[in-house]
Amino acid sequence: MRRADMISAAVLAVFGLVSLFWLIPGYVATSAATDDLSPAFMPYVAAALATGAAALLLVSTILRGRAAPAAAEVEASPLLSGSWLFIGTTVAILTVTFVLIDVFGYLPGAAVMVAGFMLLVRARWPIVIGTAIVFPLALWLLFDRLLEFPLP
Amino acid sequence: MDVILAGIAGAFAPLNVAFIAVGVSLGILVGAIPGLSAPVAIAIAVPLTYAMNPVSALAFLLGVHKGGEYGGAISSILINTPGEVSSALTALDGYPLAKQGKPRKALMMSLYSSVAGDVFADTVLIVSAAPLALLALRMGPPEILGVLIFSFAFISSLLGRSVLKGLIALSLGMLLATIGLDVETGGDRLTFGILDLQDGLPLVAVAIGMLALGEVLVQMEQYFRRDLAGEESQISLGSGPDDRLGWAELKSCWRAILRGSIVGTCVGALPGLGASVAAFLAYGAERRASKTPHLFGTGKLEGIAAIESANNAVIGSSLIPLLTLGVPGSATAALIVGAFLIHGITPGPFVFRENPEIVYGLFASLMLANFLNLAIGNIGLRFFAMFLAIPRNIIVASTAVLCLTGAYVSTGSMFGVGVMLIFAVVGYFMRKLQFPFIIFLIGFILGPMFERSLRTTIILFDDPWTALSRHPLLPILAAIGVCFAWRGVRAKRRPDDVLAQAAVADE
Repeated sequence: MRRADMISAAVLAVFGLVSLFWLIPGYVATSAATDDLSPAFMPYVAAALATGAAALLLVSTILRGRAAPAAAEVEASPLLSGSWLFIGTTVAILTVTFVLIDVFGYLPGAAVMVAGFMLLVRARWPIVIGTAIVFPLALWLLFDRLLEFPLP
Repeated sequence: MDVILAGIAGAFAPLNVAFIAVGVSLGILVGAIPGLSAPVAIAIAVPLTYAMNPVSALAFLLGVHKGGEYGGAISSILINTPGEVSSALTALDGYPLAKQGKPRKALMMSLYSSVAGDVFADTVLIVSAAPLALLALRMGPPEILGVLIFSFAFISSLLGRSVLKGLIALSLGMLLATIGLDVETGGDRLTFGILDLQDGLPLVAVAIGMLALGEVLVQMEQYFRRDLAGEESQISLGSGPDDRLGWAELKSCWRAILRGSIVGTCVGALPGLGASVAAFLAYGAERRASKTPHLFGTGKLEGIAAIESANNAVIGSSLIPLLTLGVPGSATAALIVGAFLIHGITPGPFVFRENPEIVYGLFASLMLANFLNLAIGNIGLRFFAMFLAIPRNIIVASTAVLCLTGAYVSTGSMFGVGVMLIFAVVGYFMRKLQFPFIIFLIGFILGPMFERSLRTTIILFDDPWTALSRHPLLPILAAIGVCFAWRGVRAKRRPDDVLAQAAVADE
């Protein structure tokens, strides 16, 4: 957990710095015509708070590790090697789903999502095929036909 | 008076009653499925409210919430696996009682105390909301800023294991809330030339991604890594004479129900403290008050009564800060804000002045939902218990497509779907790395209100001493917030503290 905390705090601190010195100055339109506070004021406040807290988290995690190195090593990492394989596959399924819905429509995209996720959770093939067909179709009938909310 | 009567009449319209009944049934069903909590049920249900009028939509969602809290007890008692974090303690006494051949008795006690807690908290809400809203209407931007600073300090210090992580989540939520057109100047803020971003990130899509699909991904990973070996064995509902809850047993628990209801109502009225904290506090209080504390955990009815009345009482009282100040104190309240906004209503004190018939319709619907919860929970118990037999991995994977559909329906565009998918992955990492995603959502929702109040206050405080003498509530509330934050930091260092335990349980 300590390593995960350090990496996440470092990433967030870098994100905060990028926001403070590049994103907010470059992508927030400031108007000189008003006496009011700049539109960039709140983004700066929020980004500065996030950066400061992330830096403090990074420092406190390092100090905690130095104070009790043995205890810090015992803490398990929340993201194991299997987690990366899982999240990689999940992101791939989500991306394919998004593209399929955008190009071909709701039914094929939703069917692929259900099938992909059910295979990921180790469901059996007949159940995967049945659910991937019936469930999206039922939702499409409910929203598109019954509630008259057009799905893509 | 006419407005109150119109609101009540609207609540008792047949269509509204039907929506509440469907909401309660859906809530019990989803709540009973381990891993799917009331916020997930509400996130999925929000898009269904588009076709409804505002009172029906809100009543439907609150029906889902009430049913969801009770539904969590069904899996706790029958399979020793809580459907809700707040029902985790119900298993301590509910499951032993079920193993003794009295599952129906445990479930009935859970249902009656849930409904009693609901009725108590709803009554407090109805009596107190209007006077508090009147008070809130007299507050200017500095006072609102003070309330928000207090709420942020309070929430960040109590939710999650680390105050710094809470602060990061809150700041990121507020930063992302600034995306879109600036309300004062109309200038672009962090839109990167993307037209869809000019209206900001869609709240419902962000909430569905973080709360529902993010949770689904965490659950799915457990099946992917084979951490969950198999389905738990279920205790079947019998019909023996010993398994009936008698009037004398119910009467003997009235003190536990009352104590739980009071604890739940007080906890729910404070932003940030949810049903799990209420359940922990009520169980502890009941054990301390009992003459036989050593029997808790062996199937004691008072234990079930205290927990279930407390976690349901939170529902009604969590609407007090929402309706009087516009401050959502929990994940479910955050989602209900989304439902308010979908129907063009801004929750807060102005709602009493601008949409009184909706408020009183909502109050009447809450009471109606309690009686429907009692009736449906009683009649449909065997039916809801049947759903525990469906393999959980199938339910979890199927829920993902409900989230997808919900995001499209709520935003009407593929942009909303994209936002929901991105925030699902963000929600997954926040859960894994123990960043409190509820604080992120609260920062995201309250960010614009905070910005408006802060900008106006800074202009008003041009002469700080005069302004401070006119608005003394701002520094007082800020100071109280800091005190609570300090208390929260200290509590997190003590693993035996009830708030620390509830925070860990919430994760």
